[in-house]
Amino acid sequence: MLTFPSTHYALKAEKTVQGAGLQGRLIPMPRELSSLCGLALELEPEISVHALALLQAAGVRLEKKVKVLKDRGRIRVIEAIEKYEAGDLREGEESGS
Amino acid sequence: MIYLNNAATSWPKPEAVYQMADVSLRQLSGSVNRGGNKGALDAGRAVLETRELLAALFGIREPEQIVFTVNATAALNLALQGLLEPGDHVIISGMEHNAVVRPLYALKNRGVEFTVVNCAADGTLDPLAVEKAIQSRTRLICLTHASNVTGTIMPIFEVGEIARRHHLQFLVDTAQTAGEIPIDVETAGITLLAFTGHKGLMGPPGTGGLYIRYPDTIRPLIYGGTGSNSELFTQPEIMPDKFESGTINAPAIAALGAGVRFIQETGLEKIRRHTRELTGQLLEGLRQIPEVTVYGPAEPERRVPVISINIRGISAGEAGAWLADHYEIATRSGLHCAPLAHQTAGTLATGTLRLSPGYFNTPAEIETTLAAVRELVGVLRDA
Ligand SMILES: Cc1ncc(COP(=O)(O)O)c(C=O)c1O
Repeated sequence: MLTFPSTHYALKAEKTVQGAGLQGRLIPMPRELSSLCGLALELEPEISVHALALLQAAGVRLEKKVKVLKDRGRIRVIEAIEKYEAGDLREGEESGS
Repeated sequence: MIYLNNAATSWPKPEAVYQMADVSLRQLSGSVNRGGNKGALDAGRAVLETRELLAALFGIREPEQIVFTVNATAALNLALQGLLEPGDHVIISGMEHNAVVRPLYALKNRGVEFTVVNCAADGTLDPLAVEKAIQSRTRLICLTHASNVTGTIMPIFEVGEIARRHHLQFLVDTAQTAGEIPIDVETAGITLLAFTGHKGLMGPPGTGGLYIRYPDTIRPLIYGGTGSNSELFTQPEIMPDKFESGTINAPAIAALGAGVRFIQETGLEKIRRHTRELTGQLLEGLRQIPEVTVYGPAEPERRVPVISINIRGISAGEAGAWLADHYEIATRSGLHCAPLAHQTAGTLATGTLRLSPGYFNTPAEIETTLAAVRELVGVLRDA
């Protein structure tokens, strides 16, 4: 599951991933995950590397990547995998400004 | 009715704009940033779509640097009040709208100074005069892309180059040009671009926005609910949330997106060719009537479809009323919210009668309008 610093990036991430024919679904963010924007993008683990590369290319800013285990639809375990600082995924973009 | 008041607001809108307004008001059942139900997500998706369409239209690389406002006036206020600090100096042209002049005048009380660079009577601005007006405290050059009084297209590329050379911010008011002539923020060195949705972009009123190249340099004017970082009392720095507090007008922004898509599908080139032909036809016909004074540049290439005139022997207001009464021609008369521009054109005392065709006008309508003006002049001659 990916979380974002703003709704704009969450929506842009969804559009980018779906535009490439990958499965990705925006879901209301569980409060225990983050309060940043209220939406998270749910991805199957197999496609997360591919999806992350696409998002990076599209200039989408991320907050963090977490692994979520669900039990009958309810979130049971949350494991933070990576936290992104502002700018992490934007290198190269500011050059020339 | 023959609608020749597109410089005030465009009418009619493309069919797709009406449809989108209707569909989105019915179906976008949610507030962007507040909630993950389908309606809220769809509202968010529609706003994202419009933001990306506008970014493509203006050559903006990062769509999130566009923030939505309620009109161009609000966007210009955000740029001016958000950027300027006591001691700063601003350069504007003698063709600016009150949406620029009034905020600057109010900012004088807070120690902001501005210089008005005079234009020729037809609105022409000499870029070198702009460069000469630069002082050590100059922070910003603010220029309308085209005058809403004389239609004169301003030299934004040359002035943008000067701004770049002197490391100044460059604010362009595209109220009269967005959707009418091509604009590329990179080529023109624009760091702040204000647009309105309800004129050339063919969207509904209550939509507009500001492109902000350097968001760190602008303070928000409105603080509050954005949905991101909800646990914090501070305003988020992230774009576009920093400048989009409160529930956004998603249905209208979706409809604006339909307007921009219509422009994209039709082609800016084709739109411009048509309105330039109408402008040329109108200019040509009006110039043949000795009693009519036409303001602004003679060549249609140097203007947007905005033509200000006066008719000898009758005030602009009465002439406008006569055209409306006898031929249902919608025009606008008086001072067009831009006293500075009227001063430049020499029409501050009289105002002007303004005829502004749009993409949906036809040569036949222009012919009817010219015949109506000739008839009015005939009536005045006989009186
Ligand atoms: C040159 C110019 N600037 C600004 C504005 C203000 O636009 P809005 O009505 O969207 O605030 C207008 C139109 O009214 C205009 O013609």
